[in-house]
Amino acid sequence: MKNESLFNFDAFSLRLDTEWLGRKFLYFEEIESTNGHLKASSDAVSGTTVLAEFQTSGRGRQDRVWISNKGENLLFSVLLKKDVIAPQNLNLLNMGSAVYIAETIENLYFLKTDLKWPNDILMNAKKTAGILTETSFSGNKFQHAILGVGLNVNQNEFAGKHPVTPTSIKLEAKTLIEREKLLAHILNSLEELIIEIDSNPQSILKKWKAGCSQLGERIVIKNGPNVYEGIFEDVDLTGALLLNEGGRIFKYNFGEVSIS
Amino acid sequence: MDINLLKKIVKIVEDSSITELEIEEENTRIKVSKNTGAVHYAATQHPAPPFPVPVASQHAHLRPADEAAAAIAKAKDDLPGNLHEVKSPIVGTFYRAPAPDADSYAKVGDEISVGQVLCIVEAMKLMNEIESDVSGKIVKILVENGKPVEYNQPLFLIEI
Repeated sequence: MKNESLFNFDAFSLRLDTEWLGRKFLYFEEIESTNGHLKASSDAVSGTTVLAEFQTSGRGRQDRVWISNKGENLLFSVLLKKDVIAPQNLNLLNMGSAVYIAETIENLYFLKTDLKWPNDILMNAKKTAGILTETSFSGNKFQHAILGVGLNVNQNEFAGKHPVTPTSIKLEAKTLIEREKLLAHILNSLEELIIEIDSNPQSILKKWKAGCSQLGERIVIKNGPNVYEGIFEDVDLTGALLLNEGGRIFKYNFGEVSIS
Repeated sequence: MDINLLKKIVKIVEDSSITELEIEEENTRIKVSKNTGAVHYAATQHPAPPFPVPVASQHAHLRPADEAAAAIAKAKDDLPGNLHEVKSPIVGTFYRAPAPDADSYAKVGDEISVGQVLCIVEAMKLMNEIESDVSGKIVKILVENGKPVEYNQPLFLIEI
């Protein structure tokens, strides 16, 4: 059964409580990719948000495809320029967005979420959301960041093979989710995140650690054919994963993490 | 030892997330470390393999900070006025193409213009596109695909 219905802008707008994030809002029934659209219109203002019902070339890391049924989920991207985010805080934006979106889901639907390093949102050990942040530098001068979010909301079935089994909020909450309300609350919390990154950056990683059940566990990091195993000790100030491999600490800023 | 170079090295360590840097060159050995107040780990970074992943070459305890500093020191040697360096704005993994099977953004000999994407530096799934801030011709690519790079490490030499 499909749960397709088109996005009701008025229902969303009523609940949007932000100063600037999402105030410029572009909606597409179909688009190549929401990140791609913002990349091509980077002269737009900070907070510009693009929502699409369907992406013809939705992507994850290293151009992996992200497939999502039309009208059932939330696929959106937010443009953040140097007037609202500093380049040294991009990792906090990347990991913090997972924290704040997960919190929003927990508060709205009383569901338990978990974070997978660095920025996947899991429910019941299955993937609910993926975030792809793309930034642009001219030489070493920061230009803008595009926060791209793919959130499984009302989708019932996921065809094909996935590195982490997917799920949707509906499958976990066992009720149809109002996407307009959810997106408005997410954008409200993302604006709070941006303010918090500026005023209290230490709190972001603290919250991230509190939301990640893999910390302290024996994990494996896979990167291509390479597998590293150890105890997930901590994340450092940049968000890099510190893995204890037989008493020696190694630092990783790449790879797929799973419980061993 | 050039005192200006030393100052630059200290600045690089200060501005980066690395806590210790050791450089050895002919008769000189410099060690710079900073007290972060954090628990002191012997943190080492595994090299990220390039896209066409080589088999059985991993798990070497490479110290990218050393390589990076050596590269910085070397590149500072009499850089002619018509050469421009594009440096990495962040710590991460250097990629010359958007995906493993895709064409590279730029290669040696290419004439490039301001705003043209040269590479991606990825860290923690944050994809950072580095555009050229000058027009000119690429004369050297200083880092191998898939290798770790440090903050401020030169990536491209461009003749302007």
